[in-house]
Amino acid sequence: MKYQKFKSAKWPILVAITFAGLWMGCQKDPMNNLSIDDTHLYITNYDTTVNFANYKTFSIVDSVALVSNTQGNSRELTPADQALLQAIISQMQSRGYVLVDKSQNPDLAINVTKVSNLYTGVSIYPGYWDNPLYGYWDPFYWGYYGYSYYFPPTYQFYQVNQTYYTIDMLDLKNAAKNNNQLKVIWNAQIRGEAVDDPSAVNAEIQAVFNQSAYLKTM
Amino acid sequence: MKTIFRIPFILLVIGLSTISGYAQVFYPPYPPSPYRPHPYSRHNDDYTTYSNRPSNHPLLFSLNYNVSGLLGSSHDYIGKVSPRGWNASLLYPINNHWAVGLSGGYQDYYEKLPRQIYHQPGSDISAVQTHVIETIPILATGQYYFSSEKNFHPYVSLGVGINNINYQKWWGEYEESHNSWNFAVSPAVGLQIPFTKSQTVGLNVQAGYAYSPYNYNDVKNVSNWFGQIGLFAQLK
Repeated sequence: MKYQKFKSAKWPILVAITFAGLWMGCQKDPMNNLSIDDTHLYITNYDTTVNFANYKTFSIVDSVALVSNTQGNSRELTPADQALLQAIISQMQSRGYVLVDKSQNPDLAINVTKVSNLYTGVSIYPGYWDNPLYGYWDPFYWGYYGYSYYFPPTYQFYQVNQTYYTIDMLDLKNAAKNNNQLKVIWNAQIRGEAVDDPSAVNAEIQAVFNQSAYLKTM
Repeated sequence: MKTIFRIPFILLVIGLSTISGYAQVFYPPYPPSPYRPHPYSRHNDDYTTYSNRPSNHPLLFSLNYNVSGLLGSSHDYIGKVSPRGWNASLLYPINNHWAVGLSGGYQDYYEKLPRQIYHQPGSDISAVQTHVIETIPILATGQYYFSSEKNFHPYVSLGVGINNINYQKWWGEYEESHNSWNFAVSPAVGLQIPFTKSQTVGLNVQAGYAYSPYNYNDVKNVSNWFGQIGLFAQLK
């Protein structure tokens, strides 16, 4: 609009102020209307060609791999991590899988990684499986020296700006058949605010298993 | 030889500029005079009479609060009525019945959905989704007044222009967004009720429909109804 046409100089200023006020007052910010629980995203991916009943035993890592751009990469076992690992074990057992030591040739292996990154800008990964963050658990941990991981291409994800958990289930049973690769057949990601709160992890694991009804031995 | 031609030319320029300095040119609006009718007036009324006519003043400004609800597939995306919007218009009255100009506004549609699991082949996402559509229409608007004589002025209007549509789908705190400019058309009916005898300020109410072709994810076309209430003022 051309305010120059007004003969009174007061009008454009008044109108501009009114408009600016209206503009800002009108918008409803989605972020201000989310509780911490509302921010949580539970994402599960699975290999649709796999019959999960073909696997009977599983083993799980003894600590959580920490991938961080501020603290470096290491393994940790905080109270939240302990609770998380225990929750995964309970859920797997309730689905009929038997927990064994990694030395007893488990059919399935479960890796747990906590990504704790601090970004000052916005960063977008092209896709989850292309994500260089994965594979921090050396296949040798599972006794598969010289093997590599295989991540099938799948759904595109969103930018990373905080702490999240990612849980990968590996097919050890068919590792040799899969071109000497430990194929990821199930993956769960827990994203959002304060996902590593010890009081929240049980509900988080419950949620990812609830939406993965196909994880069962029968 | 050349100098001979230059001398009368220079004299001519000096002469013209001197004359034009004395000449008085009046551009409309003319200074008020009780002896002749205003050039904008289509009647032979005197100045005081026509000054009360709304259509004889340039620029009719209107600022309104806008309530709107989406229709069609955009209604499936956001079902909630949006009470967060405004609309403004600046129109130039051509005569007693027609006014043309620009109108624009802003509307914020918002709906937060309860937690749900969204399925895709090989992938499930449990999330609290927040759906947002923001629209900023800028329309060339024509308004037709049925009558300008009475104490209220019913009108119909048609706006044609562009609409900035800002689509947002929030997965928890992760935002997926899409912004584009689209064609827009908006017919409406309205009523202006002047507060004063001079009819320079008054109440404006309007109701209408707007449509924009759009195609992104699950939203095919953005159409909406709206109702607005506000003030109009004639800017001298």
